[in-house]
Amino acid sequence: MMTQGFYRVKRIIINTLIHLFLITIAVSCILPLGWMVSSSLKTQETIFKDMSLIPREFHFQNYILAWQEGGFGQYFLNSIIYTVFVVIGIIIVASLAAYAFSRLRFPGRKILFLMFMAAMMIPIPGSFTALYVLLNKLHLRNTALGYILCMISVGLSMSIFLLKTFFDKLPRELEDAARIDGASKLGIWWHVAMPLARPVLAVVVIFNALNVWNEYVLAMIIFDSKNLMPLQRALMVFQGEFLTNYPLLMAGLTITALPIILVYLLMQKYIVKGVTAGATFG
Amino acid sequence: MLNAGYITLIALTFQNALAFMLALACDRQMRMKNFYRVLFFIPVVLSEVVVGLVWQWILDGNYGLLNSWLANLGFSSLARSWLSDPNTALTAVAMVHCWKGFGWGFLIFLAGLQTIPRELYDAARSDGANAWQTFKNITVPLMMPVVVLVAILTILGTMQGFVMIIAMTDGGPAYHTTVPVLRILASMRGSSRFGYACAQGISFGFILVALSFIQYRISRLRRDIA
Repeated sequence: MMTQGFYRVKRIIINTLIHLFLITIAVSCILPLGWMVSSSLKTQETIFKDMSLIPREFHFQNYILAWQEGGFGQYFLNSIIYTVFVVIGIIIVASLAAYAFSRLRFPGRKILFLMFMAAMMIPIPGSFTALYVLLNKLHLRNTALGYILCMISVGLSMSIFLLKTFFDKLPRELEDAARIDGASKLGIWWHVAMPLARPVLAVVVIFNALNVWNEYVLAMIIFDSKNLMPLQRALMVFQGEFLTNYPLLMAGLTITALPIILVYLLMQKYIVKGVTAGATFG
Repeated sequence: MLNAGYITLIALTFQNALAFMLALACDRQMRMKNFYRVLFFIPVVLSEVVVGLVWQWILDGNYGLLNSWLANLGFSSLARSWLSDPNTALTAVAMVHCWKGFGWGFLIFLAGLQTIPRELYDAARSDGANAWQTFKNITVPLMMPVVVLVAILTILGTMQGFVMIIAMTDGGPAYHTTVPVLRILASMRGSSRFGYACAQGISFGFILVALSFIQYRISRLRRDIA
């Protein structure tokens, strides 16, 4: 009896310690965000005095100010447009390419696929100078089209890889049945392969959407005009201009971060899948 | 280059050790595991710009949250402008990098831990092995490939990271937090020497590929010996 009680106490103590450790880290993940939101609700006067996490008065004017005068409404719209177009482009190109790599036999398909995979290995720092020069020559720099095309190519390799592994596992009998019914290759792709691939497509969509929304490097290289910038780039410009207006900056940050956190909380199953898939490839 | 190496070293040791410990702790008990997993991963999905700017505000020398807390706890002598003091800037940047990155390592470690068959632990326990022995003889050898993978990806990711540095310090004070990518950018945008920037980029890319290759070979070698 004595030893049983001893072991139970010991286990409870260990479990409490582990939980304490985990909770400390979890709090440290949330706290900076809480501080960001709380700072965004203070005024320029109170922010330097009021160090409490919950402000005494809530000032929502910062959000209205950032949205209208800070131009975040425009940037928000830009970010959404870029994200939507890039994701649509990636889905169309990547699913067709992955399907072709998986099903069609054409000369050089192994080499082509390897080239796509090797493109994933090239570090972005090694390529963005060349990209800048190329876009300048094509007169695509500082245009929305140039940015969208670049972002599509950034997401392509990973998406093709994910979709190809899925199509490879898909039983061919399903497609044979469709072929007997007289469906064309494109018809099979659209009516058979795509509906079946929905879970993988969800991973591809979410993963790429997050990626585009958070992208900064290419936006920095490509855009000069403010009215074309997505949120991330605009935040940096904004920070340069309103260096001391922290409440407004924090409101802008919250506007930028909120959609990501919401999407993440709703779709975390797919995000987790995408991350583990991406890592196991590398 | 040295600065990036320093940040990478801290990320490699501190961030991954933290991630591994958290994954171990979460692997033991199933209750609330998902809750922690969701929270730990939030910094990862946030953009580098947002993370950088929020932390810049927290670490601010005059009005930052960290300094005000230090003062409240009676350590006001420790308070400083973390990001503009040459002695602390680089470490501060590295720590923020860890904050953003550990959730990712945690997730992959956890996925790896869960592929270890439970029967192995049961067998070890019935053979009379204690917790440390099971950890040393089952968990560590079976997790080795995952550890190598995470290490390689951490090195590649951290060496290339620079957006957060732009957002926090922009390479200052006096180049104390400048990393190679920032130099490439400077020679491209600042002085418009595109050929030079391209050469810098390509040699940097080669260094990265070489690094990961060396690490891969070392891990293979160790496995062959063991």
